[in-house]
Amino acid sequence: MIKLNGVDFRYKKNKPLFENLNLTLQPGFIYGLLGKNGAGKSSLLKLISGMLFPDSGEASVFGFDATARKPAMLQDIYLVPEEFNLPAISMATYVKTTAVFYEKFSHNQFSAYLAEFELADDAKLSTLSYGQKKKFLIAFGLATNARLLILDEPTNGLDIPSKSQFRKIMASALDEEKVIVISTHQVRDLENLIDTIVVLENGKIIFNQSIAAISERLAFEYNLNGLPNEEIIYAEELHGRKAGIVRNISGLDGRVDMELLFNGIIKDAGKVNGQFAPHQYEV
Amino acid sequence: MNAEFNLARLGLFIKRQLLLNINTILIAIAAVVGVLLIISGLTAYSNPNKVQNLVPLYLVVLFIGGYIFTSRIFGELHSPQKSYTFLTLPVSTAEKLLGTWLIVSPFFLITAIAGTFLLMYVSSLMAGQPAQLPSFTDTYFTRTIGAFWVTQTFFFLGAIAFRGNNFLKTLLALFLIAIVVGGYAVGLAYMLFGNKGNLGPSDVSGDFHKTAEFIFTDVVPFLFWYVLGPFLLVVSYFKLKERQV
Repeated sequence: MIKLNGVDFRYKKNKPLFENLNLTLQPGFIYGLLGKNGAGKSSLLKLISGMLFPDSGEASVFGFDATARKPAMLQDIYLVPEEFNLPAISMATYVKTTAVFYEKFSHNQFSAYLAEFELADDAKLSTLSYGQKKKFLIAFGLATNARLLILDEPTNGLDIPSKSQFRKIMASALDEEKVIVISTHQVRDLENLIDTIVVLENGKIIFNQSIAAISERLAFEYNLNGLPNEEIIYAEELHGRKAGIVRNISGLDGRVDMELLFNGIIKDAGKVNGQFAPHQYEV
Repeated sequence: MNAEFNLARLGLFIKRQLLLNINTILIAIAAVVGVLLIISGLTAYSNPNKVQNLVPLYLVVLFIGGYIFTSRIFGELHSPQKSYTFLTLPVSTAEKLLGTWLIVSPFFLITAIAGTFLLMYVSSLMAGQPAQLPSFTDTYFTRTIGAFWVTQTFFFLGAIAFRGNNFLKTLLALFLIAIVVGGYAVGLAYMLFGNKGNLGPSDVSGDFHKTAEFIFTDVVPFLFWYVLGPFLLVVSYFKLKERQV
């Protein structure tokens, strides 16, 4: 379990980013961390992985204090950052020098992921495109079998077939011990993949609900004409029509439109959260 | 491999650091050895009897090269796009510190001294002189290497503490420290002796003379040779432990 408890963090003295932030991530789920630019997504991921230290409060990962960066904890964390620079060595050398630190690294799985991503295992890292490098890192991260896999904007730079491969691989990689956290702006890339949506805005978690709860309580409509205003939780113009979020009164679980949901939460988180009782989101 | 310090993991970390930096290391060695070979060849050709005078030049290159190499060893830590790898690598801070220090200190010294001996041997051959290799028992040589070992720890700390231009920033920091210490010493001397100018044994008491002699001949050398290096390494450990992206 990953737990942030009363975390305060600031880059500049008088400009706090997080104040009394609380968040719990349970094994067996894929979390989608959403937020606008500058909301604090990357900083939150860095706090979880021990690359930033809270000013106060605590960040614990599987019972370890994240700031201690103990090898036993780091073996169970793999982070694929948004921006990275890989050394000018071959994939084989990278794997030979880095995989040894991860006790659960599986070379068979790594080869399978590379094949799935259509990457040759004898390539030199410096000759790969940005998207290929990202796929290499994702494949390596999955093969470490770390219990916490953190992906910061993983679909940036991936072409359309690669995004499908990514979704397929991630869905198959999850097991009951793993926590996968995916931070992204591109909410549509995560549809049908994530279990829980966490939305961060101005350093606060303004929404934290499972997809199951969302589809049970909310419905996403693409033509709101004729619906009474009190039924509408959020509305926006979409291709000349009014689309939006309404209460799910049918009782049937529907498809969650993450983009509409995200826009609705950003516009009025209180109104969206009001549909979920009791309030489970943590602020 | 879950303990805080594990020899096998330390070995793997050293191997990783060497493999990741091997191209840079080899290019630097080739460039330095090439330049020194040319200088040695010219000296052997023009002044065959003075090849022994090349040793100080080799030592100067060893010092400067060693300081620059040390200052750059944590480059991965200071690159925004690489630091995540270094910080999240499942290796403890103690292993990262010791592994890196072993590369820049004993490994570097062994390589550099072997290179110095080889260059001297080649220079002597080119000059047609019997090989005049520096001796490990030569006090000048051993004290010089010892001084490098100690002073290098300043640059090791600078390599962790500063982000970018580590070598120049460490030099600047050393210069500022020298100014402060020098200023303090001058101020202290002024307070003790005023405007006396040249001081003779009659100007100070016997006790003061003994105390000063004890400080400068026993305490200061002890602090320099045995305390300074370990102290700076301990500070480096905590700087690395507390390092964030």
